[in-house]
Amino acid sequence: MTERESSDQLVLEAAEGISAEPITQWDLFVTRLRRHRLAMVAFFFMAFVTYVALMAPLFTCEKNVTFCGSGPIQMSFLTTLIMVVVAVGSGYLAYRSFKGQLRGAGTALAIVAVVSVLFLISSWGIIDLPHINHYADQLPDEDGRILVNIAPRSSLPMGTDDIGRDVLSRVIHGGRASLAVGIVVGALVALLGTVVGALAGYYPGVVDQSLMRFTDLVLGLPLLPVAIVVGRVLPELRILPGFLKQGAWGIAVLLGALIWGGLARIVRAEFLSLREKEFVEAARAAGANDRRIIFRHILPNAISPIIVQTTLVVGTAIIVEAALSFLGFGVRPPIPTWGGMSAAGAAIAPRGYWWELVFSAGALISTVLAINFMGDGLRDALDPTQTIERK
Amino acid sequence: MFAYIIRRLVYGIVTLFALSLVVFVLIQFSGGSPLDRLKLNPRMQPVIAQLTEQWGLDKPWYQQYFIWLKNFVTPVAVQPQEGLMVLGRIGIRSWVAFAAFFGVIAYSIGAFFVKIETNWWRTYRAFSILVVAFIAFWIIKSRIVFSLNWGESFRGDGAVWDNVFGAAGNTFRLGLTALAIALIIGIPLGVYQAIKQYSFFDQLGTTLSFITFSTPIFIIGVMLQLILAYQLERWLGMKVFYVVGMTSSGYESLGRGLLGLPSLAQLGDIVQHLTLPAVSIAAISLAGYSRFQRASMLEVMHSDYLRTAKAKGLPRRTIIVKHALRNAMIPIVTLVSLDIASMIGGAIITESIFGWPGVGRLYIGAINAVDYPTIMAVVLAIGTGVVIMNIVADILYGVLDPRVRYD
Repeated sequence: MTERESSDQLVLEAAEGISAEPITQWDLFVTRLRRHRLAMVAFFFMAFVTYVALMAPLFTCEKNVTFCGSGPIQMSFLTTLIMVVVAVGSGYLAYRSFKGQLRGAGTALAIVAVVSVLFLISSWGIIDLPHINHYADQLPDEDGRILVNIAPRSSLPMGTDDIGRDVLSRVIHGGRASLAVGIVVGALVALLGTVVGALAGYYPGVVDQSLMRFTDLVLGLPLLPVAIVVGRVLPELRILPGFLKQGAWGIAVLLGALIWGGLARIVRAEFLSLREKEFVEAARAAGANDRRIIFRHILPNAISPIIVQTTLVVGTAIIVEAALSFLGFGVRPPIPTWGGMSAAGAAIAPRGYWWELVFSAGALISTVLAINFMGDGLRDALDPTQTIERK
Repeated sequence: MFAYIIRRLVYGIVTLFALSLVVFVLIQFSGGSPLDRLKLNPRMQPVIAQLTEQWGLDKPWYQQYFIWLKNFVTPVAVQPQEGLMVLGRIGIRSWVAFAAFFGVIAYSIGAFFVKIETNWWRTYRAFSILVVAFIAFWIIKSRIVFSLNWGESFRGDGAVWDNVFGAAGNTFRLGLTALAIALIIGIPLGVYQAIKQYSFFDQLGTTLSFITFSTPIFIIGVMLQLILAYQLERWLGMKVFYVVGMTSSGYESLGRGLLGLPSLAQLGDIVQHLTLPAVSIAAISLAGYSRFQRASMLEVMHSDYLRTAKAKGLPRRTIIVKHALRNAMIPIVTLVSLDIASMIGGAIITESIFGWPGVGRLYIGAINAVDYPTIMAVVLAIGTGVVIMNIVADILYGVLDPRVRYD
């Protein structure tokens, strides 16, 4: 991959049996991360959840090919295209990384960005999925009766809910809302928190004071009460474009706008201390302008708390979205979400129909758990001063 | 220090102002109206017209906002009530007795751990101040009869001020119990984990708290209901825990204890209702406290002055309790004060699951009915709590840790 080695060097290496390949920070990071077993499991689990959520239209369709027997798969052209691109693209990337050809945080970020964008486009389906939302999925038995509250069995691995919809299909589709909220909130928080924190930390005085007072103000807002009000009025706000009113988008933007404050404080603190370091002075002496110092010199050194905090915020956002949907102020009922399904499942669970609650709650908990473990692993792996003690 | 507090208070007021404006505008711009339900009935036309004028719903939103704001901060005189009124349904005397009871327990626990403080008054002083402030507040509220003009509820259930403070008493009962559970279990747990770092118990505790920390509070609440209420009842054939409300319907007939205290049967009834919601709120805080306490304890345990203490040959118990724990508790105090504020948020979910008549349920009901005087009152009450607890956290941090300076 690296072109700079001349053939002479390669010959030299071959002769001496050593590699001149430099060990970068990225390599160290990957090595440390690999050692964190739980975090690796969490990463693979999240990859699995994301893939399943992305490919939801494949697994569940009008007559539920995979789980219920008969009927054609019905997919839009767009969905098919996206699925093919994602499958081919991620397969290619997996191959490259397996061969050890992928290097550098930049490439990783590019992968994340590509997958996120594809995911965002494909989650467009959250807004309306008639076969999942509107009871077309009900399963009549031989006598033509609707099978409601069917316990899990081989043809219906998670049973059906109280109006006869397949719980497995809905759990798969419910993941799209949670993951969309997680990704949008993560992106918003990383962007807002970093920009505000960086500006406040780098420019002392008026900029710092005014930005931090604003941050304090946002942090002072009680999260859940405000989120409930906004969730309640969101579908009715006349000034909003349609896609923000329904589905998870409005909720995601709202949560992102409410919880970036913590990250901004952390980034500011990092910038305050890094600003005084010698390497910044050196960069300034070499004639670098402010933009270059902020983005090329200070920000890469402050990246680890940003990544860790963002990961944790994603977990929080997924929980808050689920809580909102549970209370009925998040994504509205016919659209499946894990929180909303937990609420519906909790209503029928006392009568012995435990499966909807258990499977939706289980999906929610394991996803948040995986994200938190990822955060834990990243925190350890991103800390270059850490001596490796744990196995 | 004084200037610092004043400045923080000013920022706090600005925050509350912004909060009220945001929420008010949001409610105004939503399509809903408190009169929507009346509009379904054509014969209600004159009533709608009258209520629209009475509540000022026909004015532009900014006028409505200023009218509301003016009223919101205006004190009103209220008829003096008969005697000292109640917090929830329990008389003020019993609250004093409760406070003294829990105070003695807290003191004994503290004395057990610290064991050095011979001047009990010094240990007790902070607590006494809290108790006195608490009693004074309720006397002021019920005797001198102070009230702000927070308006009438649009749902026709009386003055918003009374509703909010009645519900706040219930929420405090729930929240303080949960806090007590979380502290009494969480902190010793964290200390023990830190002392036995990397032992089996430590790993187990870390894993469990990680899982609890990742579980949404409503799942904990619902699971507790299913297992400890419904399933236990099925197995034992009798009700152990209740899932709805604060007391049973036959609460009054369960006898009367001394001094306005609840009788033993009534106390049992209260505990049966209180346990599940309190535990579900406590679980998440508990996980947080034990993790935090473990981390801060570990940090202190590796510090130089502890090595000195060890080198001096002090007994291990003295080192841990007297030297390490005291310093390791400093961050916890801040965390707890911030947590009290966020507990109110958690209580919104728990209260709606367990039908607990507190602030959270009042809020959900008001939201559903677009009852904006109540919505605004609850949001601002919670916001005030958050602002005050933030300031308290910062001040406490400085009081407990002399290295912290205010600028």
